[in-house]
Amino acid sequence: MDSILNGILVGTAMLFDPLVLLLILLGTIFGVVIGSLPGLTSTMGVALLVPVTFSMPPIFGLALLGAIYCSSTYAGAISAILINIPGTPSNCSTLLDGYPMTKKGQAGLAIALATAASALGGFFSNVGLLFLAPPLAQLALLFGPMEYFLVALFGVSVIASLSEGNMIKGFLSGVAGLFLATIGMHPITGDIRFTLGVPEMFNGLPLVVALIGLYSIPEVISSLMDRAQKVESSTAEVKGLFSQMMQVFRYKMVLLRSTVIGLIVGVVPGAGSSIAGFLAYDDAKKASKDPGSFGKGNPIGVISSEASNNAVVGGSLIPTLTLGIPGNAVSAVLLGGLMIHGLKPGPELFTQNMDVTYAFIMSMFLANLAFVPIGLVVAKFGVSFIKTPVSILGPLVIALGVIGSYTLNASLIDVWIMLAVGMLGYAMKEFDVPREPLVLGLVLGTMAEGELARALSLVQGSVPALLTDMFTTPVSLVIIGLTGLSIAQGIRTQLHARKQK
Amino acid sequence: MKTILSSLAVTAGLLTTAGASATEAAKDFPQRPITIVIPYSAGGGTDQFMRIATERAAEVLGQQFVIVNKPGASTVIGVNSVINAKPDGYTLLVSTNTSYTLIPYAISPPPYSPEKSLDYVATLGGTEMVLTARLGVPTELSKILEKSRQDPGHYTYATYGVGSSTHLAGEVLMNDTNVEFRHIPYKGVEAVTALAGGQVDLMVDGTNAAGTMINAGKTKAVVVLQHHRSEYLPDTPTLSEAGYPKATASVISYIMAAPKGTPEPIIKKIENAFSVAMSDPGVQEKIKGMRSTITFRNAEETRSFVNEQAAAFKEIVEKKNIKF
Repeated sequence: MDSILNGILVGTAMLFDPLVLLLILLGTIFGVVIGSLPGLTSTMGVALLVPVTFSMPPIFGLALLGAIYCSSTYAGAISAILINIPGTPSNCSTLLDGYPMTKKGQAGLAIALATAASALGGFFSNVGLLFLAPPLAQLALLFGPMEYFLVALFGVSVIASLSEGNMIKGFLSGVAGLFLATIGMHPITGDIRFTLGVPEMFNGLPLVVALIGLYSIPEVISSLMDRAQKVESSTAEVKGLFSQMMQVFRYKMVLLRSTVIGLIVGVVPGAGSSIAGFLAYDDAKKASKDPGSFGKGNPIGVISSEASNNAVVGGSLIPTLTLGIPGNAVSAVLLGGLMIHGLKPGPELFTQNMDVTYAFIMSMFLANLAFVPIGLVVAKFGVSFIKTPVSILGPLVIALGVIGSYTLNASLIDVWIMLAVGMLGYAMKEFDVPREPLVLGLVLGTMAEGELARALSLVQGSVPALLTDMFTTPVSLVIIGLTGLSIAQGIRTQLHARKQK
Repeated sequence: MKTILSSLAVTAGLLTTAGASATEAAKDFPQRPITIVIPYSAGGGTDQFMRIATERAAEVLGQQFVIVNKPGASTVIGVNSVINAKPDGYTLLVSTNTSYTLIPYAISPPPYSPEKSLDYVATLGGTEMVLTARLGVPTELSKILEKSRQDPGHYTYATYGVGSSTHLAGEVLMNDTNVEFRHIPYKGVEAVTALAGGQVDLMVDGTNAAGTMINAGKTKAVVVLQHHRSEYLPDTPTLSEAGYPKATASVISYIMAAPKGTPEPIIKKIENAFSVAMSDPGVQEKIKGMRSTITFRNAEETRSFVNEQAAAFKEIVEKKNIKF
């Protein structure tokens, strides 16, 4: 404990260099731009700037990269709320209630709440990183293929929560997602499936490209056909954005639970950080007294999703710094940056290089606050942005979508995939089939298939042996228990809703 | 006869002119930024290595390098995009040895032929490889092999995925030592976690990623897959020391190539720029920081290195029926 406090003091002292503070600010602005543009992910933003940090003293570079990571994770919410396209896969659950809020004329409030929730989620997960890193890192090692497979099944139980109104349509959408996840190379055998002979498809349907297509194209088509609801905006809501932001403190329990969920998902490397938002959303909805209001512009939906995805940031750095195992793709890139500066992850990072390590962690606190004023400005500007006529906004959104899908892998095929998925998305929207279960199915399908195949090959293909393992190891029993609870609670809510009708 | 002679003279003249114009073009090369396609994601080992190397090489050439990441399909997408580019020296490929020695033989039908479609420019460096084990598995290679011979498939080994450099090195090791481990391919770094968490017994890894876990005492190094000691794992025995002086050494090499038909003088110019960059102390220090090594080979040396490796691996691929 003493060494941590000592570290905090030494680290904080290093931060108060005008250049470091300037770099945090610049990183935040860059991150907000990267994050809010669909197709440009946090990983790409950090990777692009790693070489720039080569010539800087370590803390300068790390503060810059940390700021990009925090702010880009947050900024994906902006496009999710304003134009119904998640800026990064982590913000997919934000649009569930964020966009309906925009339609209700509460875009400013939604962004203000997303900003505050992101800042708080990020801030408190950083507290976890500061004080609980060594014990939480052990959690990462407890998860093997079997546990990850069970986590994926747990994730599937969330689909019910995303299919408000029509459970059958929700499950159809989820199953379609699971099926689409089987496109590409089999994770173990390397067999190539459903790729139509296109090498670009060997790695499967790219998630970011699918997201852009699924959300941008249908929205634009509908609005051009002038069937979309007109966005209303009252002048009252642009005023007092700061006090609107403070409303977030009314939802202390939601914030706490979502932050813990994000932190844990971040720590466990194979869990796929993009599911954190979905899990937190589901949790908030199940804990709510009025689950029916979710998906119709309930601020809790935005808060839970955003608090958890920014909590992933601190969580993912825990195994990265203590074990050298990156919690996700972004922290893997950050790890590379650390090593080039001669900082080797592991216990010595917290002893020999204590000053830089703690300065980095302390800089993340600042980074989580730095995007707050920027968020307020965007909230103010964003409201007028969505008042832009459809004839201008529509083509702009499509152009952004095309550029975004191309940039990801510098591949034109991805643009065609985006347009094809866009058509599917439009059909789904027209027939009132929710699209979020498909996204979740896509994420979880890849995970479930690979992990199950791996778990089976570890026990030489014996199903009874795998089942025995599943019901005897403590971690998997906990996950099975959580899944059971989630399903039971889902059924209870449904029955309750039916009774009320 | 006269016509034949004159046409020969014309041809000779044309050839000289063509040669001259190629040299001429090389003199002005490069006039605009050069694109380097890396068939791996931004931030990965190859990407980081090249971002360090190109920074210095750009100063030598007086033009910037633009790195384009085209990951996917076991590097096939990135490699093909370079093969189809104009052979003018403005589009180059940097990939690991698997793109040149494994992928073309393991995928059917072959997605491309490196010999027919690419000209080698240089080998810039690489990352050494090591066989690591979870705690509880014997540290001596001989004991691991003995157990595997008694009970084939007793041990599982993790890699970064089907067709990755680590997979290839694992197959080579099993072939040379005549044992069988069960292959458990992971998606990237999850493999390291699996080894530290004790879910798999062995792993083939680069010394860069393996070092952290070994130093933290979560895993241990069994043998470096080469015949000289690694500066990053100085206490780990080599293949020769472990009793296999004839075993094939495995290393992840970063190899640069250009589309077939790129003028020789231009290739020489790029080769030279990187030769200068790789011997720069600043570059060497940064590469050391990421626990990789610099091994410079010129175009000709690279060609024979690749052909030698490809021949050896082709045999293993056929013998062990590795296909995907």
